[in-house]
Amino acid sequence: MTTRDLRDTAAAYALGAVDPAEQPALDALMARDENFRREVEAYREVAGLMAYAAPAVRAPGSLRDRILADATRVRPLASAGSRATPRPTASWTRAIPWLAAAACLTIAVLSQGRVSGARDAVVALQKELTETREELALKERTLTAFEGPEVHVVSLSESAGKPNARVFWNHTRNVFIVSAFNVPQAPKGKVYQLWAIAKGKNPVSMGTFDTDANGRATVIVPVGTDVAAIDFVDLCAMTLEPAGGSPQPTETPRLVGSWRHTD
Amino acid sequence: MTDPLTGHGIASVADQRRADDARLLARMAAGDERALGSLYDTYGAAVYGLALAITQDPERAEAAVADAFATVWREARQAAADSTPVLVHLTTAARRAALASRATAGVTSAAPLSAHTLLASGALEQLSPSQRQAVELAWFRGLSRAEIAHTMGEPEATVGTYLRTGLDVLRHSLTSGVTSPVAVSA
Repeated sequence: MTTRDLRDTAAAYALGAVDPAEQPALDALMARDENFRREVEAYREVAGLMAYAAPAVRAPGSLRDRILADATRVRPLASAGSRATPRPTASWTRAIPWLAAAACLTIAVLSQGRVSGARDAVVALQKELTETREELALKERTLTAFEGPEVHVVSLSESAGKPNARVFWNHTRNVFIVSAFNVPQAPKGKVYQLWAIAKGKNPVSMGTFDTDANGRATVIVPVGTDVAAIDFVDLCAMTLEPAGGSPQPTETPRLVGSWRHTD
Repeated sequence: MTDPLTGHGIASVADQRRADDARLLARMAAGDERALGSLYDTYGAAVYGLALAITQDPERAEAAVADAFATVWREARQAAADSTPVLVHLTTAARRAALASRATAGVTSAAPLSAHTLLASGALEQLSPSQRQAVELAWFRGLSRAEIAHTMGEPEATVGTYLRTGLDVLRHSLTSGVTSPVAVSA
């Protein structure tokens, strides 16, 4: 594929204008090819701005209330990749071809006019398929965030105990990947907050996270400019803070560790 | 280029917007519903306009917008960790829901775009007629390259080039405020 072909395809992919038969191969390309992913993300940004290309209309006043009312019934997910409703996460890779086959079969039945109402089933299956593919792409992004020569890691533990969390700092991608295990879910109204600590200076917040009911979390957090500006970070610490985080730690760190390079 | 309202550079305004969005997403991830309200105040009208342009039906447009904000609320932590602008998350979810809603309503994808949609945007005025038709059929109607090629009577590869060069022009226009056509290699 030439550079021009790649960019043509990236534009079509960003607009959702690729043929269904091409979609799986391009999803895989999106997960493994950095150049293609960059092109797609740039075009998706343009596509997002096209919301302003639609006619200027006033949304009904009740819509805001409806959205906020819906939000009171659902809490944001606690960790990357998980879902509010049970999903076949352990078998998501196996589910994709079955979902695709089910969608195709339903389309075939629909084309023969044998089942009324099958259109809804097609739409639901296609939506499920798209969400599963996006979930796969997210997992791929999480994995690739661990890669690269410029990765530092810190193991966080109670004093001299076994580690309860590891934080990877990918300087190339400018993200932290927080992997927590055996960390009890934060009480309601509280979150865990990570701190970058340089000798002789105040701790700087790296971000907040929470674990799931099993005490686990895998979260990707962008590196803030104030953290990136620190010349040399010695330690990483974790405290329990009010929801939204605190400007400075309000308790003695529960977990702490020293940064080191990956081998 | 300077923003006429703030006096700041356009780039710094965009950076500030992203920083504000990041703070809202962080608060949403912590369960702060007021942050969701602020996000709606910022982008609700634009997302609703997009959904209405696709569905041509206020009730279905509302449902698509509610679906989009619910998605971003539910996945705020992931969105906060992602470099993708939150508006892209919102428009992607709203467009998907709106196109699905069109399908369930039995509206055919080949239905012509309304004059209201076609004449709406100064940004789209920057495109050639062919670029504009291809981009609008893809974005507002959810057609594939092959379907657009069939509709326009053009080779599929040509349609791919229309889409790419059309987005290149829009990127230049929407991000820099350029008002005259710009040359983009075909």
